[in-house]
Amino acid sequence: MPSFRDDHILVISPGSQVTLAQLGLPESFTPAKLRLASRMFPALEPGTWTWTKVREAREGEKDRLLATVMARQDDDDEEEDDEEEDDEEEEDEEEAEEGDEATAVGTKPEDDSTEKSKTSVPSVAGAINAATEDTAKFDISEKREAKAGEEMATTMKDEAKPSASELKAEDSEMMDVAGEQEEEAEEEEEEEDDDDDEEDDEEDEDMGDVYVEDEDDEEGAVWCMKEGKVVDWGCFFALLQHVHETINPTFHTPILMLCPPAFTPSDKERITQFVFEKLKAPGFVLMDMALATLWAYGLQNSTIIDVGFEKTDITPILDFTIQERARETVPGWGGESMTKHLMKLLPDLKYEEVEQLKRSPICEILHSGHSLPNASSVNTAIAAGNDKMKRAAEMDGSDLIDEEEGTMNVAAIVASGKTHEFLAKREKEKRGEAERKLPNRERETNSFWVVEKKKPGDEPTSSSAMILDEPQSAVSVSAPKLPEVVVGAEAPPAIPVATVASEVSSTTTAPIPEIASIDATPAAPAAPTNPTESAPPVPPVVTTEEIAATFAVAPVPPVTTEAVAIESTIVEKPKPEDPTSEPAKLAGAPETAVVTEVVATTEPPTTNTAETTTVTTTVTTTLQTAGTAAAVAQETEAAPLPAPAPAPAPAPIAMDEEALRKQKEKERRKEEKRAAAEGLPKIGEDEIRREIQVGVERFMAAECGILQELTDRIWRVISKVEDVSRRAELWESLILVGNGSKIRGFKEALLQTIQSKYIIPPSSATIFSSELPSNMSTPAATGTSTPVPQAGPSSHTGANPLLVAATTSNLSLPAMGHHGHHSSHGQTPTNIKFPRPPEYFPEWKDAGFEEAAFLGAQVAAKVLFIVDQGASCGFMTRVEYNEGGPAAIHNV
Amino acid sequence: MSGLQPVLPSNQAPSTFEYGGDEISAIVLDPGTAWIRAGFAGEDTPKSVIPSDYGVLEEAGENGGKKYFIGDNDVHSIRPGMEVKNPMSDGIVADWEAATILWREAITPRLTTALSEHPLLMTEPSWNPPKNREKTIEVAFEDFDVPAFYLAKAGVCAGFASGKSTGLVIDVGASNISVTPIHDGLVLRKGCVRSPLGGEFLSNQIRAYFESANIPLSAHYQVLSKTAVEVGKPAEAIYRTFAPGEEPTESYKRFQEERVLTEFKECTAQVWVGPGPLPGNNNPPLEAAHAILSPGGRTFEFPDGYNLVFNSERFRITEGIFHPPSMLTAPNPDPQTTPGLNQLIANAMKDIDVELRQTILNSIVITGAGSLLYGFTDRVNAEIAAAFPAPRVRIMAAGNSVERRYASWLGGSILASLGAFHQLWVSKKEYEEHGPNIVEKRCK
Repeated sequence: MPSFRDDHILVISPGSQVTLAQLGLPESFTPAKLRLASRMFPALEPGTWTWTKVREAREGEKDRLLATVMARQDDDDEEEDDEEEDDEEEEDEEEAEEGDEATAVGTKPEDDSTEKSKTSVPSVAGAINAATEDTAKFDISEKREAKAGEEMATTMKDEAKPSASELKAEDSEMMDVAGEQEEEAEEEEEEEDDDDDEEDDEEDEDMGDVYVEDEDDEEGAVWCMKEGKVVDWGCFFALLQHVHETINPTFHTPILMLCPPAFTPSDKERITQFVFEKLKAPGFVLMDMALATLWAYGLQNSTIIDVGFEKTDITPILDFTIQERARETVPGWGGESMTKHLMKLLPDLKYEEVEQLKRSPICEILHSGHSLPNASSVNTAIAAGNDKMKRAAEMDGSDLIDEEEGTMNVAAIVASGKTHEFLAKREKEKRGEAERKLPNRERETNSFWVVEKKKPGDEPTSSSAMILDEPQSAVSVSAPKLPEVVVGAEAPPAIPVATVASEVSSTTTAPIPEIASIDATPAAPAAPTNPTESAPPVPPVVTTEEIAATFAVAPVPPVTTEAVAIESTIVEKPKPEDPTSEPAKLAGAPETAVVTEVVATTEPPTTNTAETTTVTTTVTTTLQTAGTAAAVAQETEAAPLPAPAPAPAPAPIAMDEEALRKQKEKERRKEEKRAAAEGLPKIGEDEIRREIQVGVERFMAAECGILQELTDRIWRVISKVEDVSRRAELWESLILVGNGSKIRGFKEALLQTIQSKYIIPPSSATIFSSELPSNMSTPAATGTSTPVPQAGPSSHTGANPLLVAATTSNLSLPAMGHHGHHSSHGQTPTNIKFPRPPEYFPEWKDAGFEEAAFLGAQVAAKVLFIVDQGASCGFMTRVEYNEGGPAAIHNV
Repeated sequence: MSGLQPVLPSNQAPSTFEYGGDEISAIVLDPGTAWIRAGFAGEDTPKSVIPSDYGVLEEAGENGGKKYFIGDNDVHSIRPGMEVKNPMSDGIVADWEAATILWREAITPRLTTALSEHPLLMTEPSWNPPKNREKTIEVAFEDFDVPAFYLAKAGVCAGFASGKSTGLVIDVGASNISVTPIHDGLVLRKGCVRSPLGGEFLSNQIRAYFESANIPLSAHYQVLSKTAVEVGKPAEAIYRTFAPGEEPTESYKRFQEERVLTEFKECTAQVWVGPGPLPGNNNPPLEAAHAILSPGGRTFEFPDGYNLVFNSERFRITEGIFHPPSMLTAPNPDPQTTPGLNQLIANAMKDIDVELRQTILNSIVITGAGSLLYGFTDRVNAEIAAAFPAPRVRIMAAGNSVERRYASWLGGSILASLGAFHQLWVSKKEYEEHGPNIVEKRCK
């Protein structure tokens, strides 16, 4: 058999949520190139599957599509009624014609799959562009999400075309029911597979039906795996086939597939059979995920904790051998349980929003000793900090005055009698800024960005936050009823500055240096939010309101109370030594770049804002300038609520329209740039970014008990390892992988939980309990020339010690032989460590090691297929399959 | 490729596949009092090991029946009202309903979902009464619907695991210590003896000691987090609190404490090496023997952080196994009538033909998790050397704790994967023809 080549190796890693795949092994291993949601849709023909959903075109759909081309339906009121969902079978022919017509103008991929489904080609309609179409729900890493978003935009465009053509093709259909479009749009998203009851009734109506692929529709999708087990084999195989077709490897491409621990031997045989008979692979090997992770880390002994979607696997491995007996799968505890818990805490957020919150950098698990930054805990700090701050503010004021000699009329301020107010404003804004600058964990609230599909005719009445059509702008409304959903806004970030400045002079260009510098390290996504926040009257719900933007759009009475909790900060400022929590780093933004930007962005509002005051000395004044109001209103033409400027006052400076528009343009560009710099999710044209602010709930993701549960499990698993003397080694290299563990601080919190409950401190009485040597091996994997354990994978299943025991007599050790065996007896754990992930693969470093199993799979593929070339039976060849059948997979 | 058939190195076993393992691998099930072990024949370790203890909630299941919680995933969760029970008694099945569920659960999730596709080999203790044997085969064919079945003696299997078909198997289990002489793969019934001095006995010994010394025993579930405290100082831990009515049951507590005791046995308890019984026994305290005893104490830390140094106590709690009069739990079992391990061995040998004694003594196999006690084999060695001062007495105890614990499963795995074993299976057809009684004829 000719040897396999690096670029002709297919690695597949199926998962309950995401299936990873990659063809070829690059010089330096990279994270998986292909990420697919592990789901398929039942195709028209029962028993066949398609990747993208194929459904009937709906009446009125064209209208809708035309009207709002980028439409997306997320939430379906599926239950309405099922009338239309049937008779795909029946209408095959019609559908064929129509489908052709419909897709005639469409792009290729569309064409392809429609055709396939119409001719009922078994299983997969290969929608090629499917790879990236799925958004938030599946893509775990935000980076990818962004990418997906981009491509989503393009696919959506594609989709628009066929529907446009449909329109031309059959006008007749257009006649129907325009009024109910919306409703129907929703209800028809039902699965197509349980059809045929009422076909006859519907025939006439459906004669003209068109089948379209709905790229966004998730309704009716079948997820082929659950908790690491395959629940629908037809779907699973269809998915494999789809992966295979998407990648479309040559015939001489061996496959390495990772398998979750829940696969039984008969499952493996089934997969083997499928791979050889349907995918026609020349070589195949199934590798355990935990083992692959171990390879990725280049270790020999380890306890691998794989936090998945709805389950967690804990696998102890000693000398490359999985301790099958001790290994446990914890059902029901995974990333999803944290999402669910967050949902409970934030009942007003939708699932997608919570999911994104969980992935956002502000969602963090704090050390248990770290109190939540709520009002009560910060208050003390405030008390101390208050004076200082005031002084600082005052000083600022004078600084300002000094620096901007020409432009600031001190006398005017003084004369106007607003000095006090001015200072108060300054102070407050400083607090806001300071708050923003704080590391996430010190802040009472923080906000994150949600990317979602724009909805056609999205009525703000339905959701707590309003969504504007303007793609980039995220205007926020603090909904009166649901105070904790507060919304970020594109509103100029430094309005108070602006107001202040404008009060003084109309031509202030350089905002106060200090403020600029504060802004320079904007807390990741929060920068454009409010400078002021207010503590909620009701303790559990932390409300933050946004002054400027809120007033501009929302009908909320513009009463903003003095923030209680925010100030905290000057005192705490020296904290940023903590590298992980430093917001600037978090955002990954080069600080300097941001500085300039922020300076720039603060600029425009200064010129066109004016002030209205309700003079209250200590409490916030309601600031609103006619200019801003106008600007916001303009920007947000779609905003259904008029911008009620609470107390409109004549704008001192009238900006002409031209300039205003320019400003806006400029601002938007800046915003974009800044978004990029801050690592905000990129969004496509049909998406919007929305900022959502959450309170301390964001720290409570793990309070559902997942940490305790996992801790107990880990202890139990390791205690079940028979070899008492080696448990210490297992404790000393815990590897935490799986996308469920991606949430910030999870690893540290887990470590802390274990330590607080199980660690055995060195006894004050003897030295025995601390005698354990640390003989951890260092990671030894280097790119392509990875040294691997000599025995290769055969070491884990190959040689059969059982038969050695049975057939050779060298076992009869004298009973005294294992005297030293117990020498390191003692309780464990005395020491718990997480080994460092390997550093040889820069691409992985960026992406994180949650999917390290895939890296291990690449290493293994390299070794098994390329280096070893099957010399030690590391994989199963076609010949072996022909001889031994599927069961032969157990021999490799 | 040289074209030559690669020759297997002598130390490497041929793969199961070419070694007569069947196309369909049999499942080997070894139910014990503490653990139920299950795996595929031909493999070296059981893939699935679940505790025999199960949780049960009365009137929580369907139709108001019992609801079972089985396996490590379930039995450890705290559920108010959940009783933790064990279906075994004296090493044999007492509660068939639960046992059946447990056995199925041991096999199905991890190994296969289709029980009807794999032959099943089960082990049984040598004192399993005929009625139980028949019930076992009934469960296999009626409930599990297996295509073929065999019931093998655990002792014989343990011997196979050490490569011996003749020998004396000392199995230190959870409920019993049993001594089983085997010859040519058959149990010599006359010499089978057992004594209730297994792991449970040892646990009770430890409990009794803790009680007498006023040492509070805590379990992990009660503790949320602990802080390190000095030796002997009271624990400073944050305990979990339970709302009234939400507390776990007493049996659950005991079951969880058992885990701690297991750790104590693994890490702290030790057997006095001998020769002879523990010095300074009984009267007056052990202080006199301290010098000889240990090089120092061992610390054991309880889940709540409370820790103590144990010196001679470590020896004292295990001494009852060899020397029942020094047990701490009297009167149950009765220290006077219960034979200690050396007595057991002597009893077993007494009943064996004189010709066979020498061959049997030549391979004494020690197995069972209880034998992993530190110093256990050394003590057995010393006792046997004293009782049978012959040059050819040899003790075999696998150095590998995995093999020691799962010896009888391992033997079953070897047995079921042998090509020659094929003729021994009792097929479903035969069972249907002859009824459950066939087990007496075929599975000797």
